[in-house]
Amino acid sequence: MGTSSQSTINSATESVLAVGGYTKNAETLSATGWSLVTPGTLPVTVNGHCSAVVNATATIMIGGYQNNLVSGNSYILSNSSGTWTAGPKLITKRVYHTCAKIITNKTANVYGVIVVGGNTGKISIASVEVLKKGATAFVLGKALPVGMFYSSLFEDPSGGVILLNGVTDTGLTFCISQ
Amino acid sequence: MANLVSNSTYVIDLTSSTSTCSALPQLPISNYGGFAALDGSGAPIVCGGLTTLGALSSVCYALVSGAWTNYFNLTTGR
Repeated sequence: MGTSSQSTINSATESVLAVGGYTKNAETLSATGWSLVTPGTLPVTVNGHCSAVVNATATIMIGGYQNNLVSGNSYILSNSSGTWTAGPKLITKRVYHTCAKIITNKTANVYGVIVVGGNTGKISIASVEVLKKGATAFVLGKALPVGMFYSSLFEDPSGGVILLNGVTDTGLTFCISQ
Repeated sequence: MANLVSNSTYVIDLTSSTSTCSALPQLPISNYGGFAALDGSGAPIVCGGLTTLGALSSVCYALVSGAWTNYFNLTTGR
């Protein structure tokens, strides 16, 4: 099932961040409950987007319906200042996609963010985009065998990522690992 | 995109290639479009989403001792 809002868990800080969901704001979970991220809010309302931890100090929100339009824009939240700044744009605008932090260079232990699948608002998307550490633009990764949205993405304990479930244009639901 | 609303949840062991989905207790509500996470204690939580009436929810539940229990609500329905 696709999400209206998106959560990310920063393993470095062990904090949960809930982003958007037909709103411009985000909130974090502490031992005493949820509190809004301040002072910043997103410049747009978002739903059907994805979010991923970039590093211990930043989280990225990517694509989705932004002010009710399918978007490829991304915004990066500084955990320290609580402000959002515009990030790189996706090559393909998409909603109901999924994303996660992945390792892009095992030798150097370098991480990036991968964006997988989704929907144009009309048809499902097979393309995969990767934002490597320090890069200012997304690049294409290895595409899915079929367009799929409403999926979940996990880092595979043995390497790579696992795409769990998803819906194709023909209504099929299945699991892919890569 | 048709939505089939369910209050079922499952847990998967990603470290085992032979594991299958294990059904968890049904959620008290049938919201859709919310999100799930693990809180600081490692408990699974589910929050928000749209109710079957189309309203944004701020309600969260945590899985504690095998049962879904009320948790800190979000400040904002989302």
